[in-house]
Amino acid sequence: MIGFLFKRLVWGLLVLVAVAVITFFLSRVVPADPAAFLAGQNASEETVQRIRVEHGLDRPLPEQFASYMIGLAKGDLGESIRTRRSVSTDLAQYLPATLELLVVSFVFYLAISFSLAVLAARHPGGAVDGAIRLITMIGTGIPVFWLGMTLQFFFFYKLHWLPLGSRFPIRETAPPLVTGFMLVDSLLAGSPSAFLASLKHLALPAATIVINLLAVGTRMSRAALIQEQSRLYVRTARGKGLSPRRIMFKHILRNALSPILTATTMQFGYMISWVILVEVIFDWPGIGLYAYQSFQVFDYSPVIALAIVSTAGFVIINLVMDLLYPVIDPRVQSVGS
Amino acid sequence: MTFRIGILGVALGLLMGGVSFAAFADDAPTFVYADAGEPSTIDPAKANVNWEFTVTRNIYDRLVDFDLDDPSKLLPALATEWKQDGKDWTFKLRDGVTFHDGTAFDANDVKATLDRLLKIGQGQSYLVDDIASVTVVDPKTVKIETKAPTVFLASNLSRIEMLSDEDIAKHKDDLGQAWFNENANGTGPYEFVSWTRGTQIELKRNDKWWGKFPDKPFDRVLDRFVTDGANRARGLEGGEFDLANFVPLDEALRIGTSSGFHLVEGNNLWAWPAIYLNMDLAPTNNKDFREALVKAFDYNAMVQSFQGKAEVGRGPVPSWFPGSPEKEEVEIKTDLDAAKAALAKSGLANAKMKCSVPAGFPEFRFAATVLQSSAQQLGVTVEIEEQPFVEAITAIKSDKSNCFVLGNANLSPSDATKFFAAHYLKGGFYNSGKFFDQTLQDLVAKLPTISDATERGKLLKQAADIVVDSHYIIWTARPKTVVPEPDRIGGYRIDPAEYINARFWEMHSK
Repeated sequence: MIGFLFKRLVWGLLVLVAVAVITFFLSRVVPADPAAFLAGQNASEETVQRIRVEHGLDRPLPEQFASYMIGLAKGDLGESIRTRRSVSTDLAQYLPATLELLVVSFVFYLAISFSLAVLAARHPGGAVDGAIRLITMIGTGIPVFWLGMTLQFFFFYKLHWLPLGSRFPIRETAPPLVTGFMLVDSLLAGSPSAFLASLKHLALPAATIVINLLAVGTRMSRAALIQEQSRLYVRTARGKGLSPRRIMFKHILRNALSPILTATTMQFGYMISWVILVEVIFDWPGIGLYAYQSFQVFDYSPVIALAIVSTAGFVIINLVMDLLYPVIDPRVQSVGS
Repeated sequence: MTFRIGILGVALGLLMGGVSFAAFADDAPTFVYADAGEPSTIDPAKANVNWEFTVTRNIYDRLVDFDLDDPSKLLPALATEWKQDGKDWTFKLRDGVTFHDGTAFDANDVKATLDRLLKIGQGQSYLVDDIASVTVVDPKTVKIETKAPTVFLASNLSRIEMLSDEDIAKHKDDLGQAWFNENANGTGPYEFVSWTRGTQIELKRNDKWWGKFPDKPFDRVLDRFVTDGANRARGLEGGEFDLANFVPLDEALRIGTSSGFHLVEGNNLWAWPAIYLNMDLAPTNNKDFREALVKAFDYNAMVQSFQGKAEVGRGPVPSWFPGSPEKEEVEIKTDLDAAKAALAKSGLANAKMKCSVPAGFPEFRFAATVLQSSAQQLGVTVEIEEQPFVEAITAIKSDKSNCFVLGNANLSPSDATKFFAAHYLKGGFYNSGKFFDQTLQDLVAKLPTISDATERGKLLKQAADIVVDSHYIIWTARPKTVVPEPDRIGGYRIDPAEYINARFWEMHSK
């Protein structure tokens, strides 16, 4: 197990280095001048040149690359030209909002997609199955930005049920920042009303992500459950007179979990990419919004750092899932060993 | 099962019910401003875009102010009197003014601020880059010497925020750049409270301010960063925001004429947009070809796109700008026959050209499309490429594109020379098409030295004529600025020398 873990960690590290190298050179290919942005639009060429020198942008590309990679090895993600602060400081501020959105979306995604899959798998090809297929396919077919704006239109503009965006009611004071997770901080502050307010703000962005991913998750879980239903052990269980609920949750589910887990891992990757759009639509102050603002001005360091962070997120979730497989299905462990 | 559904119902009820979001806006003493972007800095020496000015203009004061209805009329602010004597300007400073941290404002602050601004050389420093030296005469008197006599110094100082010399001295290692980037201590009507990255900047009212607030001012201001124009419009309409900037025109007109809102209209745009033609790259390096494009352009289509809230400029300087020669200029209008004649003279039939358009501005894209269809009537092909701003301006500057689309506004209330320098003189940042005319260079250098307003007007007309006659620019339209304001709010005025900002100290609830 330790050997497996070590091997996966080394591979993960190599993937991160490769991403850093690729994004570094890709960002330099774009014919833009971040120094001109930093100097402002009426600055003289001397001022722009001075800023280029200050930020090392005048140095040859290999030199800039070496300097960046050495910094990266020391944990220095560079400085943002736009916010004029270290990228690590920015990420520490923006990341919790994204993680909170991802975690909540992920939990709801799992709960809803799995419940729908169980419902659909009960009578494959039936009316319920058809209805679930139709609804989830429509949800996935709608572009994320349109879905988000439509939800805003109905739930904020028309019904006044949910807020337009951001993490907390504008005119109210947010709970003191402890973890950066607004839900957790609300509870730590002992404020159920703040918790509810935070939940309200999470509702639309999380719904946008979940609705958009629902079809794939539901269909893959449904397929795995149906496949397991046709196994002999299920027939035996039925023959023994076990209730359908017991058969589903005690027997089928456990055996179907591995493919569901694989599908979930892939969906998490999509979730990370959707988060940029969703955060922009809902003014959610997370790394997606930070990435969008950085892209707009070719702010190199945050762009590379964000590529590394999101890749790291994907690598970590893959690793966790790999570790979970043997727990869920002992056959995987015996193959591995 | 019923029990579970009941629980779910209660949870949903709690989540979605409760206080309606529109209700918050009515009873709170807080003013929420939806700003189109998040500042990169709140250092007045570097502030360069509207969402940075939103903060700096309200936290800091300037030596002089100006009348928004008549920008040539200067008003006292931190300076109560001023006079020019050749290259020397003397400013008498207001008594009893303190910074938000309690330290007194005096002439040393003015000197430290201007010295620092000119050393950094960014932001609005170009407006006062003709300053040669600043001398403290006594704590309440400061003398500013310019490189050459300039009548516009006081007017341009109405845009320069005054910092504390103690703050500058305390953070002198990097000229205070790191500290001022995210901290602020001014003498202005609002104090800096906090900056929540990605979300908002919070300000509170300075009740010790020397100026006068209206009745029912706002004690707390939240400058929210709302990047999406549709969200700003929807939030304003839904009551989540009290005012929003850069609301798309169709939305602004719709909201402003709906119940509970009114429209505030004014002028501050010189052109929106202007199309710059590359003077060095074929085919736009041919004057007759440029004339053909200027005369073929469908100005009516542009005015219609602004739903009638626009006019066609006759040159670079709008009629409402102090000393503008606009009324004496010849009307610019579509004349296809004249365009065809000019094209024939150029000998460039069936020419092809490329146009770089900064992304994110629908009006810019539309103007480029109008140019494309207008040019097509002459047999000229225009290829449009939408790119991020820096990339687009780099394309024309490096001769990879024939044209560039840009909005025009002037930050100085009465000095046109700074605008000319940036847009039409050699080395000007926005002079993307590399226009050069020695007579214009000389005129712009001479203009500030002329104390007689009539004489200055004549020179400004000559300068404008040179630009018009060169056919370097297509001034596609000059729209009015239209801002929807809720009826429950008052005090918003359009600043003719800024696009667009809120003077929070003039805003009040009704």
